[in-house]
Amino acid sequence: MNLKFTKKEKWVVAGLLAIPTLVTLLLGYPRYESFYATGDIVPIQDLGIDGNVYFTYIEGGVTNNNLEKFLVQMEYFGNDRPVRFQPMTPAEREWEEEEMGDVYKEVVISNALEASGYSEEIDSSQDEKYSRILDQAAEYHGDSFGLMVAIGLVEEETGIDFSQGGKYKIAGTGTMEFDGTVGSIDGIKEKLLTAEEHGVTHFLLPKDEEVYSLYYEGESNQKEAEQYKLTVNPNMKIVPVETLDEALEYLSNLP
Amino acid sequence: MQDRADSWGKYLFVFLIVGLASSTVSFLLSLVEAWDEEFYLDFILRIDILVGVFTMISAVITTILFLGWIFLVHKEYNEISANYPITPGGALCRILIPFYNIFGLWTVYSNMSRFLIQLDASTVRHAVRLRTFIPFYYFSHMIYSFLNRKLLMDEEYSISLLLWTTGFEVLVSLFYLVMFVAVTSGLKAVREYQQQQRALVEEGEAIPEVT
Repeated sequence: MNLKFTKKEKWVVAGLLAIPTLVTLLLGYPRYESFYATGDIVPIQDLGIDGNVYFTYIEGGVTNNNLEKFLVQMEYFGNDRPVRFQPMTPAEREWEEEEMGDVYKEVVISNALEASGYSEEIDSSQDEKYSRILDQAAEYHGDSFGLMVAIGLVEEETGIDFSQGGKYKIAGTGTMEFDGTVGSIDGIKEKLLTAEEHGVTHFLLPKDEEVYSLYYEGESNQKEAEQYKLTVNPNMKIVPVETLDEALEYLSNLP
Repeated sequence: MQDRADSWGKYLFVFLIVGLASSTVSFLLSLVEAWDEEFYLDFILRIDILVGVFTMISAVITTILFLGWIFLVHKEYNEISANYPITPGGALCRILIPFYNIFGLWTVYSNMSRFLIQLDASTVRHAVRLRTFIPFYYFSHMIYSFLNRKLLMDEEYSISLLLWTTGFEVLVSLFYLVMFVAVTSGLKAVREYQQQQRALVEEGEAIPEVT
């Protein structure tokens, strides 16, 4: 076999080899972004809590390079669903790599039990409840259901039905701190849209305008919600709350 | 025509080597996955995906080069002999048309081998070599196509299926290379035979008709 390449042939081979090489390098180029898409609302009963409110989850994840971003875009484009990408800060990347979302999930369940005053006198009852909720919540990633878990526990403990027999469809999002404060979460726009799409009448979210900049960059959940325009369900009420007590007070005063 | 076939052959040869190398790397990375899945997920997966992207794009270019090359080779055989049984377009049809290619792929090379046997004693050894490799090439190609389709369509992920598929990918790459060398050597022998015949004509001797 004669494998002596002419100058022209060398250029052609180099050009042809450059195609897969450049495309691979381009697709493999790092692109650390988180993505968000609408998800679903889930009855708090699915976590083994005898309440009548819902928590909201959204679909999301992270991309590490252009290829992963492209594949995510294709997947959502194929399903005719919007997806939003947002560059990640180094701190957010570290959070994801350490899988801190799951650690904080355990913390918010514990905080929700404390803040709601669930079976305060019986320690073993709290432990059992904690294990059950954690078990049932295995398929959900993150800690943003803390507020709704706490409200659900209050309903179970007191027998109050904030939905008033299904008159209201109450959903929300927000973490739960040990002192009953509602903490900020990610993907507020997609959660609001998810709630709208599922006929929610009242949507609770963190009132974090004053504290958000102390911990995070960008706009607070409260600010984003104020700027959000209801499109699917214009009658949905968006209710920012700072603490569990404030949420309970609002829900108790619903007509 | 010869120059174009030779140029395409050189490009194809380079890409067949690249394909063999990248499929071997894919196979080795699959072995790592089978050996230690956690290690693979933590450190290898991203590299494996990129190797897969490179292999896939290279495979597309290789396929185009292969089709162009086999077209040109058949065109040359048709110019050498008007009785050559497969036209350039016919060769492409035998390779590309689904179901027809089940036996078509085999006949592309078996006809070439038969032609070399009938041509002259000097080309017989190339014919025999080509004919020897056809079953290896054909069955590895067919088995790989089946495994690859099964791997893509199966809902349940199977590491053993992945190992078989990547293993056969290496074999297919190897046999494509072997077939390429066999076909190229055969064509070169035919050209030499033709040159000898022309020389004989120039010396005034009769030239036997190529069938």
